[in-house]
Amino acid sequence: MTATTPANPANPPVQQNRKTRRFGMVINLDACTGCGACMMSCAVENNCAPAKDKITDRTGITLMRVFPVNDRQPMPARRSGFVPMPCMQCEHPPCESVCPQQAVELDKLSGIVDQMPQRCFGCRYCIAACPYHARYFNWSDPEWPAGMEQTLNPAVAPRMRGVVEKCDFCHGRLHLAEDQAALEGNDDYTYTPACVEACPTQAIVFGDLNDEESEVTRLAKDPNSFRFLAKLGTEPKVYYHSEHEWRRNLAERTANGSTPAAEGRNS
Amino acid sequence: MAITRRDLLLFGGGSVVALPFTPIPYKLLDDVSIWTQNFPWLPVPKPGEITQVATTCTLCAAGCGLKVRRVDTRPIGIAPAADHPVSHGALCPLAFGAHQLAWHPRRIRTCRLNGAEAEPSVIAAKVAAAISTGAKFAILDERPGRAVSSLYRQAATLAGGLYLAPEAAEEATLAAIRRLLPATAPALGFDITNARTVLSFGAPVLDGWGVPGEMLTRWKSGEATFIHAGSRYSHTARLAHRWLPVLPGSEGALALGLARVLVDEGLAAQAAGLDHFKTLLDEMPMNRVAEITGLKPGEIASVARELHAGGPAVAIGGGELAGPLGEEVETAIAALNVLLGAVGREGGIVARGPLAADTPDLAPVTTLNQAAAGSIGVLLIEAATAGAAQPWKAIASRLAPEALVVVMSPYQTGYAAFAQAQVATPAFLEALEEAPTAPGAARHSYALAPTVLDAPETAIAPAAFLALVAGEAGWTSLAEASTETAIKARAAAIHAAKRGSVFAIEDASETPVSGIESADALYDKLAAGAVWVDAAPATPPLKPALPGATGDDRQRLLAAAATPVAPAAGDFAVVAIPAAWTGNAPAGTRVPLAGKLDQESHLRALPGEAMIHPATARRLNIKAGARLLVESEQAKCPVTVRLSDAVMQGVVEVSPGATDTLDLFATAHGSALRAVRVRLGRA
Repeated sequence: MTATTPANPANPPVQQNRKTRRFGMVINLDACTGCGACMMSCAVENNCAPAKDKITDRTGITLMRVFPVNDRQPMPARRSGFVPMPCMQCEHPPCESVCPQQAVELDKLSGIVDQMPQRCFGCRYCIAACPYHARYFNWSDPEWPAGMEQTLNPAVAPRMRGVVEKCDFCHGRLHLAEDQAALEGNDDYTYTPACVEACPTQAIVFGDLNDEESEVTRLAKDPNSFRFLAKLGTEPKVYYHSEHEWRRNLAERTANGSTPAAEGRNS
Repeated sequence: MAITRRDLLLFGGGSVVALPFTPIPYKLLDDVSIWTQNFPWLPVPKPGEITQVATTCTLCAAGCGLKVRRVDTRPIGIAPAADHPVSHGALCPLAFGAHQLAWHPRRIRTCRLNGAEAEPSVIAAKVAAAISTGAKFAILDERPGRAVSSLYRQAATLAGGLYLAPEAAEEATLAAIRRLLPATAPALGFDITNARTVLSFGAPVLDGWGVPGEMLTRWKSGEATFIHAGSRYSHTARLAHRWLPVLPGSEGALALGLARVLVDEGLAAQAAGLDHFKTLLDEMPMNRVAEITGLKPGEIASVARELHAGGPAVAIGGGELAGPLGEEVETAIAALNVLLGAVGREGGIVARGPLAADTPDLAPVTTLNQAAAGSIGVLLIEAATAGAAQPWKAIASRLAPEALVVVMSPYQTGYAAFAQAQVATPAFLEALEEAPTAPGAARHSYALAPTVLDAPETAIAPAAFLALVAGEAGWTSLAEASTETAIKARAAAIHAAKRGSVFAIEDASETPVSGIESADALYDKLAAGAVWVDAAPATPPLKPALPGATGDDRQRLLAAAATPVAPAAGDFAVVAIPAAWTGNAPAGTRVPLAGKLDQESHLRALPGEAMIHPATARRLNIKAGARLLVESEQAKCPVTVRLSDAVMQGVVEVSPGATDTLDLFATAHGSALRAVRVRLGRA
């Protein structure tokens, strides 16, 4: 026998019949100025600590990282640009399947690949599995100068050493939006991640890819939009857009020897 | 049944084998993981009510609108103010971490005299005593144009001293154009919103120059073409529609070359003094221009034609943060603007219109190189958070032996390291601050940044410290000075003029000043984070005369433009140019999270790095990562080498990391240059 719960208008069953979303992004590479505002606002929103002396580009925590790139032409004919790289929020995330602790989970309601540092024990299989290098390991405990911990965002818990973290499309903001929607008794909400809010040229468009009317869906379907390493079949929900072919060629960087390059510290 | 030793071993061995197939080890791992998440040294942010405060960024002179997100009274984040009439909804990366500056590791919370804690009154008495002995008094205002700046000028007047203010890089070309106009000409600004072609001579116009939001909005609109002439493959060079890689120190020659094409091809606007200027251009043939700049004559000609066809066009000099071009080179760029017909034209260089007139008895604004060498006995510096960078050597050359230097700053950085006394002032968000018209802006604006955080009780506002000095020195008219009084006077002047409108960030509403009932009501609006923006002034006819009226003028200009900085062949010297941006400006204080942009990623050069082309490194037998000593005529500075084929051969790009890095570019005359010859040695 199955027990049925009478409907209570004052307490609607929030978890049932919730709208399924696929939050995604389209980043216009032609509008990115490489200023780094997205990186800074991301670090503030997600309580990333200022770098200690020995932290380098290999050991730092930059959940959103902007990479300078170029078309490998000799100077001065070289064309350059910038590629902001958050977690790609794959539909088939390789990091999820390799995690022995179930610390990575694709949220079916939002389409966001969640990272739960409380479960992570730091094996870093996910870092090895991620083809986008979008995951970061906490090599040390976060430290803030005395008093600066007052400026931390209460919606996001600081992570300790020994765990992996990554962009989760500002999950704290998503929770706030969900709470507000629940208070108002509707399920029709959206929100803005910190990097989208910060971009001075509005190069990042964010929204629900399930919504056919949304700007993000329209841009994602544009013929000049593309996804990085699409051939791997991970189905990223972060799209890039460019009117320039050399930038679109960045998507499959191992295709041939003339593909564009990421600029390194000693390039 | 007897339990044998074999049974025990079997049970033990079986248990070990079976253990991984039970939840026990994973439960233990889980518990340990969760336990380690709650180590007491990890801060736990306290929840609370989330609110927003509208305010203005005062980290630099741009005056961008922003919203401070707070939990209870604690600032936890910063967001741009959409539709802001000055910043157009954009902020630079540093602004996003600015709310953490109050807890900067190098924060000064108490005043210090010769390394020991001291009361502000003690330091004020020492300043007053030094002035009373006849020592020449000077006050260096890193952020001129504020209401509080008028207090500094009053102090300089009362002490018979100097009011020193650095010329903003954005204003250098405008100052050169003003020298070509009658003395009564109004203040000028760049009308970027209506410009169709922008030619920048090394100025980082797309990387934090002027008001970044205005420039980026124009760049993104696709309605303007940006051409960048510079020696560095900077962010602006990358983003510009066309990059002209000119040799270091050849900007003046390029300006004259472009002018020559305009004149020769009959594309130049009519201007007084054209005949004299042609005489000057005759001494600068195109092959000579090409030799100095490293560009082909045809390329220079095509740029000149593009500027003419793509009008209104405007040429912008003004150096990178650390590297001014020099007065004569700016004059050449000013002349190019005159020939393009940009002066007094919409989309070019327009008049800002008069603001509240200065009181006639105030000390005039003086630049550092106008002060006599070794003359200043008492120097009071107000080091604004990210003010214009001047080499300390340039300041020190103006100081008398045993001069008393007092720095008013919230941080022990920049000039504070060279001062005998540090006056601890409130940090960003801790006191009412002003954002006057941004340098280079086409229209006047004025905004306030209200107090969001409590300042330490031991901190003292610069105006209050000045009042203490005034009390000790017997300057009765200044003894009651306060920031608020000075700002109220400015608000009253704006209200009396009844021009422009006030934009409120909170509800994005706009109110004409004429509709605001009183000066106090205007002040209240501004103190709540609103911004006043002047109405677009009717541009009066501006009739500049081209430079080079006298033979001496022409020779000076030619000498500055036609002298290459590049070393002779076979010389082991290289040319140093600064790789500066607002994030590594030595006079300011780095936002703690700025390391995300350089130390933790490849986006920017690290402060203290020097970038060299691999071929140059091979020639000089230098390896990546080497520690070197860069030595110019004026200073030595240790750097870490980084190789990049984007750097010109024979050039070393020095990323400033401390005030002494700037000393490399100092001259013996109290100023600085963009490109200097240096030698590289082992550190």
